[in-house]
Formats: sequence, structure tokens, C-alpha cells
Amino acid sequence: MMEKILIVDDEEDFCYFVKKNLEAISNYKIIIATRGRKGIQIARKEKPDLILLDIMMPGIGGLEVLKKLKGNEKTQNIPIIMLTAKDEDKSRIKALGSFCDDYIIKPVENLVLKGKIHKVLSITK
Amino acid sequence: MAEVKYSIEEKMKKKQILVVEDERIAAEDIKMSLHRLGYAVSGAAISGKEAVKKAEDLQPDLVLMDIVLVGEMDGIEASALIRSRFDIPIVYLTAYADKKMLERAKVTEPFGYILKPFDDKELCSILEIALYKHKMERKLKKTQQELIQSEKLAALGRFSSGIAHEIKNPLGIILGGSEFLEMKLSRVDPEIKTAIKKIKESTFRADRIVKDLLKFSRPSILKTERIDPNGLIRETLSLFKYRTPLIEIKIKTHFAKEKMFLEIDKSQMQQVFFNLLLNAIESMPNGGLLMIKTYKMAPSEFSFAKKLCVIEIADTGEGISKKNLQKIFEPFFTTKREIKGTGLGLSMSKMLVNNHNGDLVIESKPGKGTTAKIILPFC
Ligand SMILES: Nc1ncnc2c1ncn2[C@@H]1O[C@H](COP(=O)(O)OP(=O)(O)O)[C@@H](O)[C@H]1O
Ligand SMILES: [Mg+2]
Repeated sequence: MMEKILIVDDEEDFCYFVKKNLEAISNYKIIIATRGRKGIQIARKEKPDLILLDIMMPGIGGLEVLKKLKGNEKTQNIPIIMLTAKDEDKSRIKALGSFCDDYIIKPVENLVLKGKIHKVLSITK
Repeated sequence: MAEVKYSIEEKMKKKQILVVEDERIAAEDIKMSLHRLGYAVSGAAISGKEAVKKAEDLQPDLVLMDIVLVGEMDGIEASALIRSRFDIPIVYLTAYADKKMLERAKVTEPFGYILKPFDDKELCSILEIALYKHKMERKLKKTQQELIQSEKLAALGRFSSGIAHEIKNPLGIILGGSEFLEMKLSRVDPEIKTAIKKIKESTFRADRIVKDLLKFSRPSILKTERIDPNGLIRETLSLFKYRTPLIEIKIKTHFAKEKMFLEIDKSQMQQVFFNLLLNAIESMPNGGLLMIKTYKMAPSEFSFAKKLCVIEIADTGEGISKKNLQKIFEPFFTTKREIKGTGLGLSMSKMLVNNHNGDLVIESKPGKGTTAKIILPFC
């Protein structure tokens, strides 16, 4: 079965390459949302198997999105990998505990990204 | 004799005075007084020119300067030169005290002004005050410099934390784009493959620089554990096996025999070892000897610790010039433009060691080699 991955990140070009690169080496189907609000909507409608969620976004930020997703029964069980451009977010992310399944610090190599997604998917299934 | 308190240490080491006086008898008189008072006369000069030369050669602790001298340069001009070139305090000893002369002399910031004829008591108290004042000034200057340096680091940290996000995001896109092109094109043309590889490597390099910068902004919370420094050094050394070909570099270690344990943050201290080892290796492009020593040392007067641990990393590389030695702890100071040094290794290492209540000292002999000493308190 083809797994659906939602990426929520305001950097459009980043999303574009993540989609192109991941789809080229895996069976994942990547859906893109470049705003937090949009991300929540799509998550509820599409029920992706995993969400890649950027922390720092204009409008509703990643942590807010996370809270909303985990607070809604339709989306609360979807595993989440946080994306960040700041190494120092590491400790903040760790503080999220079970709310988030893993994290990735940009820039990230395609193979590393795929590996993390695969790992989280196989654990949470 | 005047009631001046010496510390024991100062009493042991006689202060060296350079006497500038063109009248022979007066000069002998001054020298005798100085000897009586417990000073050493490191030299004598009769002209301004000679005074400047001897100040440079002898580096005395103080210059006792007559104003009217033989030759073209008078004592005030000579003092101005000495003050601007060397950090040596000057005390005038002269028979003249007219207003014009005093005004001129003032500009050279003398540490004292003695009128002839003088007596021993007066000479001694003025010299002692001058020497003490100069010592304090030096200390103040050093503290100020350290303060400026740490302010710079802090500002750098705040700044880089703000822009890290702005830089790493585009890096993410560059890396994604390169990998995309790699997939699409590298089978077509090996040159494209090489080009893409270079783009990717540069992306990682920029990423590393941002990461290094961010370390300045971190609060200095240490995650300390009991660690055997010798083991940590071995571990760090092994990292180099994969990084640099160490074919021509011989590594010798001389570890303290007794077990030593330090209360340190492992990843921070490893970072310090890594930076220092890398500098040592980079200083010996044509090979040499890398000597690593650890030993216990009695504490200096400035430390509260019972014992200190010294970790020495010495190379037989090119060394550091006297001029550069003053700058090596400045962030971004590097002489390694060709091999793309970031100039952050030492400034960061110093900060990390300071966070451990320790100190990092670099000694170097140009052409002979460099020794880095990490001094850490035992808990
Ligand atoms: N072991 C050494 N031998 C010679 N020069 C050194 C050594 N360590 C440091 N230096 C000098 O200090 C400078 C700053 O060092 P560092 O802060 O580590 O930055 P970088 O290594 O990136 O240049 C170097 O560029 C070099 O000129
Ligand atoms: Mg370096």
C-alpha cells in the first residue's frame, strides 16, 4: 500500500524537493501544505500516515499545529516528525515527549529523511 | 627607610630600573640610592636615543628619566617614544620644574615626578607607587580586553541564533535541489556528478559554520559527569583516523600514571580536544610530532581547587608569530584562508574551558612549535 505523508512547511521550495526526492526513492505519496492552518485541514481530510511538521512558520506555528492535531481524535494518532532549522530546538522538541515521534534538523539528506520516516512508520504501526 | 610593604614574591625579584642621566656623578648617586633601596639597575643611558634603545633591549620594569640630556632628543621626547612603543612606566627625575616643562612632561603620562635633590625615602615611595600603579593598570587593561572579547562572543551568539534559521532553511533547499539534480543528471555526465558533489559539500560546510556559531549563544549549562581525561583524549584521537591522513605525523602520549577523574561535560570537552588536535595537525603539513601529556599540577594563587589537571597538546609545527599570538582567541581570526579555517576553534575552546572554571593557554615558538594547555580543576 502506498503511504501518504503530509509535509507542513512554509518553505515552498523545500517542500517541492522533499516531494520530488522522496517519491523518487520510495513508495510514499507526498502531500504539501505551506501554512499551518492548511496543514490541519488536510490532515483531518486526508488522514496521512505521517506528518512532517516545521516548527517556525508564519501564522499558526508548528507547535500550535501539533497541539491542535493531538487534541483532535481524527488526527491524534498520526505520528509526527518535527522539522526545524535550529539545532537549539532539540531540547524543546524533546520536551514534547510522546507528542512527537522524532525530529529532523535542516538541512537533511534525502536518505536520512527516508530512513527516519521508515523507522517511525514501522514503530507506530 | 620609607615604610613600604612588599609582598614576599616581589621582594625576591628585584625590580629592574633603567637610569637615564647625562651627568656622571649624578648618575652614580642615583645608582647607589637604588641599590640601597633594594632595586637593581639594569642599565644606564646618557642620551634620549640611547634611552629608547636600552628600554627596548633591556625591557626594564621602570625608567628613571632626567629631562635635560646630551644629544638632540631630550628626556620628554624619549619618554614619549618609550611610552608609545613599550609598556614601561616612566618617572622623571629632574632639577627643573617650570610650568612649561611640566606641561610638556604631563603629556607623556609619567608615573611620577621627582625634583632634585631627592632623598632615598622620597625616591623609594615614588618608585613603589609607580610600580604598583603600573601593575594595576596592566591588570585592568587585561581585564578590559577579556571583557571586550567575551562581549564580542556574546553578541556574536545572539546574532547567530537569530540568523541560523534564515541560513539553514535555504541550505535545506540547496541540499534538496542538489540531490534532485544528482538523481536526474549524474548518470548522464561524470562532470555534473563532481559539480553536484562539491555543491553538497559546501552546503555541509556552511551548515557546520552555523552550528559552530550557535554554540556561542547556548547558555553555559554543563551536563557534567565523572570522566577520565586520558580515555576521552584517546577517543577523540581515534576520530582523526578517518578524517585526515596522519601518515607523516607521529603521535606520542604521556599520560599521568595515577587514575584521574574530572567532572566535565563530555561533548564540550571533546569539542575542545578536537579543535586543539586539529590545529596541531594542521600546523604540520609536512609531518612532525604530536605530543599529548596529562599531569597533575599544584594550584596557582588564583584557583580555589585543591589540584589542577593539565592536558597538554604540543606540536612541532610552524608556530605562531608574536603578533598573531595576541589575536588567536578572537572569533574569526584565522590564517588558514586556503584550507578554509573558520577562525572559531580557539575562541570557542577557550569559552568552553572557562565554563568549566578552567583555562586554556597557548604558548608558541615560531618555527619550533606550539603547545596548548588545558588547565582544569579536579572536583
Ligand atoms: N597549533 C597551532 N600551530 C600554529 N598555529 C596555530 C595553532 N593553533 C592555532 N593557530 C593559529 O590560530 C588561528 C586560529 O585558530 P582557530 O581559532 O582554531 O581557527 P582556524 O583553525 O579555523 O584558523 C589559526 O588560524 C592559526 O593561525
Ligand atoms: Mg582550528
